[in-house]
Amino acid sequence: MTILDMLPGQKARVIAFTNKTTETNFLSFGLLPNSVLLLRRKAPFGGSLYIILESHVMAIRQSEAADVLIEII
Amino acid sequence: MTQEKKWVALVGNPNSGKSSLFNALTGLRQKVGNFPGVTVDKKTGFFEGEEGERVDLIDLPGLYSLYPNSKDEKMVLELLLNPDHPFQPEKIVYVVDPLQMERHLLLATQLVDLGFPMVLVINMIDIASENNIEIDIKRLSRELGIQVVAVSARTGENIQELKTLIQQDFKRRRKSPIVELNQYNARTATEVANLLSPKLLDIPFGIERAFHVAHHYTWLQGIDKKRVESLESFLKNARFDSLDEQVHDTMSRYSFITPLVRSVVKKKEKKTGGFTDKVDGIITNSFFGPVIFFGIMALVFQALFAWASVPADWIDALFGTAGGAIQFALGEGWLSGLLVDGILAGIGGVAVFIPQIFLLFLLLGVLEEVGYMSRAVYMFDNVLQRFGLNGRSIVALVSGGACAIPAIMSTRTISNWKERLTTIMVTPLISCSARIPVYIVLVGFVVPADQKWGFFNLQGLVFFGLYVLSIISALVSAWVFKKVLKTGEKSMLMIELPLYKKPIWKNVMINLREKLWAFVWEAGKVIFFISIILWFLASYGPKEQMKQAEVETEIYALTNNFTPEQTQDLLAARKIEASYAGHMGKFIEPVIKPLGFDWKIGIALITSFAAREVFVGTMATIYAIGSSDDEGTIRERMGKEINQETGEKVYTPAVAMSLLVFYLFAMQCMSTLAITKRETNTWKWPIIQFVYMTALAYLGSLFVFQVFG
Repeated sequence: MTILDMLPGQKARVIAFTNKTTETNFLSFGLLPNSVLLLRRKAPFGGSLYIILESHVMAIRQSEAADVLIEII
Repeated sequence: MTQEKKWVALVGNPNSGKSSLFNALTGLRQKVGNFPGVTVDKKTGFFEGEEGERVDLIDLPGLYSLYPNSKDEKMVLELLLNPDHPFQPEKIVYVVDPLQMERHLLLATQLVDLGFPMVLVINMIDIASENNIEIDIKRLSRELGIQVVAVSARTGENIQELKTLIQQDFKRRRKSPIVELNQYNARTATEVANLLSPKLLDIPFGIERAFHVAHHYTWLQGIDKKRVESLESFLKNARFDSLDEQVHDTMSRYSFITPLVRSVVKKKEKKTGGFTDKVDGIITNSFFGPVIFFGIMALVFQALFAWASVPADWIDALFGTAGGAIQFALGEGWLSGLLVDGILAGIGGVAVFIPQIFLLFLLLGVLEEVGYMSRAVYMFDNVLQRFGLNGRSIVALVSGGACAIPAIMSTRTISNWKERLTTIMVTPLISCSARIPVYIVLVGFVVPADQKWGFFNLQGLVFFGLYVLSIISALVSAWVFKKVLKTGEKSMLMIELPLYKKPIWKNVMINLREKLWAFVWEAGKVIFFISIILWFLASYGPKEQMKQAEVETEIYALTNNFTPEQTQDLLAARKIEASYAGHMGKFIEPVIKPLGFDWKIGIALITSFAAREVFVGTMATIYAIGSSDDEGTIRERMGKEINQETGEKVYTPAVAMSLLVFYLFAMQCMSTLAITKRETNTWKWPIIQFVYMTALAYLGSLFVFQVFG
């Protein structure tokens, strides 16, 4: 299951990443394995995702979301 | 390496409040080089210590880690890793946001491990206490092995103490790195150092620096081709996997940072950002988000016309009075002609638009400062991707409404080359502030000034229409570039959405001052020289032809019983036609005739290729010389202009519209071409940019004039 499968309002824990380039970028942004994230909303025109982490908010593309394995909590 | 200045660099993550701190430390004592052709991002400044000694600071672009993606971030690495870089800092002031400690400490530990003398500055300490956050500074300092100080750039708290600290030698307790290289990587790094420069092994933390070169040698400058090749074959043999090591290094650092932050940051109650979340619920809403965005843009441009006209009239009056005074003092003659009709008319023609440009920069600056622009990036990423752009392109497209130069430079945050190039290529199509003077002069010939359409001023609406047209043309061009350009490079969005905050007015004002001054000074310089040249070209010409014009006028006036005033008007008109400028205009007249332009407009088109705002100055100069009437604005003079052949007005709505379209599309700015050259490292792209935009302008004008003319 990846972030892409989440519905707005759902919370999840990060398990792992499936792409190394995306992984290094996510790590720099403070999204680590075991981080908890909330999918808050989706952008107009069905584009990017608005996610809330413990200390900050970020926007990611669907293609980036697909590289993050998660479990819903 | 001889290095005159010792730089103290401000480093930190984006949105850490680094630039606010830079402003708080240096105040107005900062500079950004010369605007066109020079980097805006290399922002330097200084402050004076208690004994008057000068401390030079450099504000580096924000970055998240030493594993960069965008050009902006790569520049920072370049400066840190290349010992011969003229801006390599002697010390680093590292800025963190207390609410984001964990993330922001990642880069901090990486820098500590490169061996730079460094202090950690916890900025926005006022916000931390508002949020009931306590930080054990002593412990943090002990664990990191460097000095830590808490300040607030907003309130000025502890800024003086920070200044004193920066002037002293930074204490460092840690002799070994926070995260040590494992045996295998240490061996790799040693070999890399040997290949690069064995000197590295003698300096403290040289081996750690060498290891970073192993990650980045493919794009780092200052490493010759032979070394790159030997590094490549060595690292391949050693099975060095950069991405693996990056992940490994980052995770090791977090396993140091996470427990550290847990033990030094005490939160009494949880959750911040409730306000931001509520606002974003509306502002990025699927329906209201885009509506609000375009509403804001429409308001910004309405404001320009509603609020700027009063001060613009004052400036106009000021220049008029000054011209009158000079003419009175010097009498008629070439000197007063040059001063009043040449220089003053040219400069005044542009000075009038300073209020507009001021407002535009101000409003866009505020949007950026409060954090709205990153929401726009988030909302429009998907749409812009379809046109081959990136969400981040919205920043360039919107600030292109002020000036294409900083806009093109802002594309450095786009890591994908194709998306970045496309953004650079289409940004100059967005109507910039230099087009405003042209539009204002011409729009009056299309619609009367005080006509209303409901609540809106009709001219305001036409303006809005011009901006919409410029956006559409930029998107369509981008789509064409998308189809033509090829790349396999991965495209990224991943952007932080910072909490909304009250703008720090000092930041807004410093930014505004910097941009406005650059515009006035750079545009002023060009206009000044072009006005002088133009005045000369329009006042003088081949001797016989000038003489002939005089004689013919005299005869014509006598036979037709002209009043002296009529004679003078005719003489002026005939003389400008016979002048050098007249010859130039006539030379291109056949080409521009299908667009509805005469040779006088042709002169303006020629001079405008240096910079489009010159149009107004050129018109002012041409019509000031060409008329005995020294009263009245440029627009009034243009309005009186009669076509000698047909006896009808020159500036019909169709001609004005055709001219508007020409200026909307045409690439008439040498500075932008220079910046495109610099950002793309080749003349290919500025040439393509020039050709396609000029072609668009010609065809667009042709279409408009043939349909409406």
